[in-house]
Amino acid sequence: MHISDGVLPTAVALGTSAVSAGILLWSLRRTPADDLPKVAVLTSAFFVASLIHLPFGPTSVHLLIPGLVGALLGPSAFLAIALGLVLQCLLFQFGGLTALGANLLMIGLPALLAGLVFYHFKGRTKKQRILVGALCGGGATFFSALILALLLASGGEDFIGVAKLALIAHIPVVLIEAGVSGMVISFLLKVKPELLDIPFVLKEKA
Amino acid sequence: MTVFRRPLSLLLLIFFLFWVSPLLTLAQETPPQMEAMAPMELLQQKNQQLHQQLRDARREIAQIRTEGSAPGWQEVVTGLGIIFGLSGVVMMVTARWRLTRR
Repeated sequence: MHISDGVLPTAVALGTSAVSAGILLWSLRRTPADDLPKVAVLTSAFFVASLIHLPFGPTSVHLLIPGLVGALLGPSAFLAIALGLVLQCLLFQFGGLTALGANLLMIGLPALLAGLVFYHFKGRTKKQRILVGALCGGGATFFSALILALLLASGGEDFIGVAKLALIAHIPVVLIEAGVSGMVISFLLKVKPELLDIPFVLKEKA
Repeated sequence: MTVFRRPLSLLLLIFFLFWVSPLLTLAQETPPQMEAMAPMELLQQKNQQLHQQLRDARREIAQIRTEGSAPGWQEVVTGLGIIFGLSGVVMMVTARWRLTRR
């Protein structure tokens, strides 16, 4: 899923980096110091999840878990994904430093969206929370694949063709992530339900 | 007559050796078209075998490359250490900052 160095035009790489930096600053300001242990745990989960590869035809795809990170962290998800991506880039050689902004936008935006959706639609019953969590997990990966196609289209590729390929390749990941997110949320509802009550505040209170 | 018997038999032998026997061997050999086909088939077979071996070698090289570039447990532990270390440092700094504010 990661975009490598030199794939995107310079203007797109610079633009996405600037937008990502802005959102990262916003995410940093919305992260309370008390939430840092949780952010660290989910950053590590995101960092390690990329090592779980699923064989798919001649190639293989790996887990991303943006939906789960977004649902559990809310606005701090962007910060967690930024740190995870920097480490994946430096230690695993996934993606590239010049494409870091694009990768961050591709995974971070769906995570924030998943957080927003989970916060507004999680409801009160256990079943509804698990269902919304699973939908957030699968939907965020689907959205990531769409952004990937959009970014690759900016480099001169045919959007429809790339989008089809990216979506088909990520069908198993979408399904597995929906299942994993649902299971994690169901487990958290039993052992620590307060973890799921993350306020998704877009603006600081005056 | 007995005088000519020996040279005559010698002549017959030479005639057979140098004239008839090559014709007989030629008659037994395959026609020229068939003769040309056999090396072509052999070449094609060899070509297919080589292609198969080349494909196997390429697959093995790709496998070795992916195995070599795959991150090991050392990178994973390093990454986890950096994440928890950084969060620990930030938590310590914010805690101290809170204490000094009081």
